[in-house]
Amino acid sequence: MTVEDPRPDAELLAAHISGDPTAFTSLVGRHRDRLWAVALRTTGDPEEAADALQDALLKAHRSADSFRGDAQVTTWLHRIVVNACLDRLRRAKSRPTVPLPEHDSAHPIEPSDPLGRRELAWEIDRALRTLPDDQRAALILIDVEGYSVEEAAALLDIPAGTVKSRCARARAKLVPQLAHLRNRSAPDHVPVSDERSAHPTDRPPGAQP
Amino acid sequence: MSQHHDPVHPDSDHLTAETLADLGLGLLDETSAAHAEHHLAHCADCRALRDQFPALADALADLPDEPMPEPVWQRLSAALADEPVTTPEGSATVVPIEAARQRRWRRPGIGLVAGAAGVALLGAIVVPSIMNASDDSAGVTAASDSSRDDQGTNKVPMAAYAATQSGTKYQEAALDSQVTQLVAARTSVTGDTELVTGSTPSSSPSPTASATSKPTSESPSPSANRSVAAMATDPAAAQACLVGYLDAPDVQPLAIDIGTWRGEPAAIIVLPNDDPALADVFVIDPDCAGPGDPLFYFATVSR
Repeated sequence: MTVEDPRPDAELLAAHISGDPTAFTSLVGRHRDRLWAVALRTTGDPEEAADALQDALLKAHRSADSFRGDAQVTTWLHRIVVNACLDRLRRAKSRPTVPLPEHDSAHPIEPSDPLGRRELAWEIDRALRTLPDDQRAALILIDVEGYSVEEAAALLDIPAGTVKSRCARARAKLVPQLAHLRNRSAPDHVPVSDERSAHPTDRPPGAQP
Repeated sequence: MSQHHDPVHPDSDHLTAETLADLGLGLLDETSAAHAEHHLAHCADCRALRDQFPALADALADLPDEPMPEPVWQRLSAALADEPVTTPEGSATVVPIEAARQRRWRRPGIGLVAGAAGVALLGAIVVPSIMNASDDSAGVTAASDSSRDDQGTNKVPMAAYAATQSGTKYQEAALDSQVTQLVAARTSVTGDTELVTGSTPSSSPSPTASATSKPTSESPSPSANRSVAAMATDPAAAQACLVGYLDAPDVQPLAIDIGTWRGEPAAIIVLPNDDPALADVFVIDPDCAGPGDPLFYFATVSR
């Protein structure tokens, strides 16, 4: 395991730029679970997430001096990670179609969890994977990571209005899927994906978006 | 737009999840928003659907971080450890720009060695005022120092090179090898060979005369504009930058090349380090001035 480096993020990054050979790894190690969560949720796939993270971290490692200090180091890292994820998703789209695998192994169900938090997270992550990539990325930044619309817009390099509409589309798709989570009483509720396939669209034909 | 037949409420014109999501993010126009609010005021079903949005937001905000699997961390840290940015030897060692500024040659006052030709060159650029008052007194010593040993001939050190214009895309990651190649290609001009090109002074400058003249580094004249183009095509402008900005008139550059840096035109100036195994690389704005600091990047690389 890594030994915690007491220096703040910005100091670690500066030390890395000055040639400290371990500073960058310490910085990444400190935020690795957060970065992994973002990459995993944005890509929806552990393999893609690991590849995207590697792309992103190597890029950040090389271009650390491009960090301007007008943002949090974590925001800067997030931006690089999210964009690396979206890059990989776009490239994956241009490849012959491979169905997005279900990676339940990454989210072991723990029915004994007294709060049901893991199970809820598992349900939500499954639902997130049903969203289009762009909508999912916007939703994760705003609703999961807690960025403001403006921050997310800067991070994704798209207009704030686009962030809002993607986020709205995503929320509108998730609410019907996850409504049962609020007042479920039976543990053997219908899996999200089955429920979704029974309602391929949220609107009848002819309805305006 | 705000009213749809909704599968959640198949028997009436209720608000859709899309409409409610748009409403929540302020995306509806005034009329649609007013209509939706009016409907919500009278429809418990739609209020219930609307109330699921904050519940969703709570659930999303509550999502736990996923612990990064140890194999993934091992792979990532191994990849990072393989990165060659910072090693004691061999690779480019990046230092903050601030430190690079302090690394500029501080042989005080020798910016005036060049005599008439040098003065003309200095006039062609806007030189940051990096010479402070204390430089004056030290100038005499430094200037006489510059006339030592190898300066006996009529070779003027600061003019003994030429800038190339390779257009190379210089990058941090590849800087070490790029500079090595550049220097290798330029060895003919780093030795005591004759001047390749550039501004050959018409006469040998007198060290005493230069020591008494003041650095004419201030001349924000129209000629400053001319140097923007000149730097890319005229080695003399690159040389003037070396004298004026880097304050290193008596240092023989190992190479000067015009290429690009992060998509922008840039001059790469390679100077010898105190350690003969190393070289200092300055990536600098080709007009050597610019609105901000002209120094884009500094690194020490192996030769």
